[in-house]
Amino acid sequence: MSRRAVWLGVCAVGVAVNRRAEAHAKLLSASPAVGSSISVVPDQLSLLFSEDLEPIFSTIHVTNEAGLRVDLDDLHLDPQKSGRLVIGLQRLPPGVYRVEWKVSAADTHKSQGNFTFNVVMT
Amino acid sequence: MPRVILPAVLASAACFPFLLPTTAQAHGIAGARVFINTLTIDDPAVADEASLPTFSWQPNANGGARQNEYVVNVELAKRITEHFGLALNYGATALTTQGAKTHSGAQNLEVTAKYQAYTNDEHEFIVSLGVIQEVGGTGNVAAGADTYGSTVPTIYFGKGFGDLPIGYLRPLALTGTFGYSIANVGLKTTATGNPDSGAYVSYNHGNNNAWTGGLALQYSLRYLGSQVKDFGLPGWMNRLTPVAELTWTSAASRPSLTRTRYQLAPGVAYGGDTFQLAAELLIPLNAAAGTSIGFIAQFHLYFDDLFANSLGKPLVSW
Repeated sequence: MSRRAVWLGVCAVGVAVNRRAEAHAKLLSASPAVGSSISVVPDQLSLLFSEDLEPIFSTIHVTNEAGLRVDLDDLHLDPQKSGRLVIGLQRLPPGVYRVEWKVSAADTHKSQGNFTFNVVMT
Repeated sequence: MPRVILPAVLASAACFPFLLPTTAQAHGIAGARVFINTLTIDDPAVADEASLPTFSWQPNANGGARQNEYVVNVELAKRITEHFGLALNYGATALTTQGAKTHSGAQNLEVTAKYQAYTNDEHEFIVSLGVIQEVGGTGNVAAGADTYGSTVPTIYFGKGFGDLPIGYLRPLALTGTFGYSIANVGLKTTATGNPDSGAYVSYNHGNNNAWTGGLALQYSLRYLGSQVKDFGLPGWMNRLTPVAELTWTSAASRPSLTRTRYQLAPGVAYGGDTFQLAAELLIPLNAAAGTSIGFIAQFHLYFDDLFANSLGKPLVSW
């Protein structure tokens, strides 16, 4: 039994290492960064994920402290990178902004999350 | 029979993935929370996954003689429907004792049926109900396997603390299990007596009933970096989840051969895209749980990520 288990383990490691992942999309980085304080507001927000995404089944909402959307509702994939979602931002006054995202990987795995960033006065 | 179950299931599934219908989402996921696969207690969700293998080593001092117990275990979990799954758990033990013969052999097969009854994405909360059946007579009694086995109705839960107002506590999550082990054949006294040489009691090969449970407190650095604050940690560090697991067992019927045991297992899990590697220390918290610190490690595969269109989906889509 133990020899069989070791053999199965070796095979499993081989499968995991060699097979291309079709995993749940995980947020790798964001701009503005998660939990950051910024003084220069970019005109768009971008999220980089670990998997290729299906933009039709993905959403990003950016809201202010009153819960009103401050994004331009123009979500699209970065043409240079199919794991990066981009959405335009209005001119943001100082305050705390909440980003809520739900994405569908190309293989239909779904994942979601949220974070805030802070716009401060210079 | 049990010796051929796991290879047969794996081989069948690998050869005929096209026979499996579609739909999906798995792992222990509730909203933004991904619960890790814990090592000494079961995780709260149904899933398509395998532990190949789990290995543990537990040294002990038995009187003056030093003992080492090695366990290799394999688990395969498969969803039948979106919220209902089965798991097979099978392993072998080798017990070496200084100056004595080594005892080794298979442990009993365990079959778990689990239903994920409630999932709340907003509050990162999962509750599942299950029954674990230890099939008596499928292991080697000389290696410590029970003759008759037991049936354990169990409740599982997982709660992520992403809804807490204090940011740095949001990556915390707590999972737990609580079960009542019902002996398939009860423990009975078969003889007592002999006041001249001291009292003695002998029993049949049955078991007493027992309470079993455990808690796992985990802190996800991935959650910290993607939901709370990105500290720019290296990618590999963002995949780590420190965890501490507490397990306990105590007798629930008389007569009993079970002494109350408490064990702590602190460690860390590394979450890859399709697998998890985890290692923990096994620290006995009372004398009944052991005398020395042991070790457990596991390599775990997520079939829903590895084989999204075959093994990683429920067998039926309702």
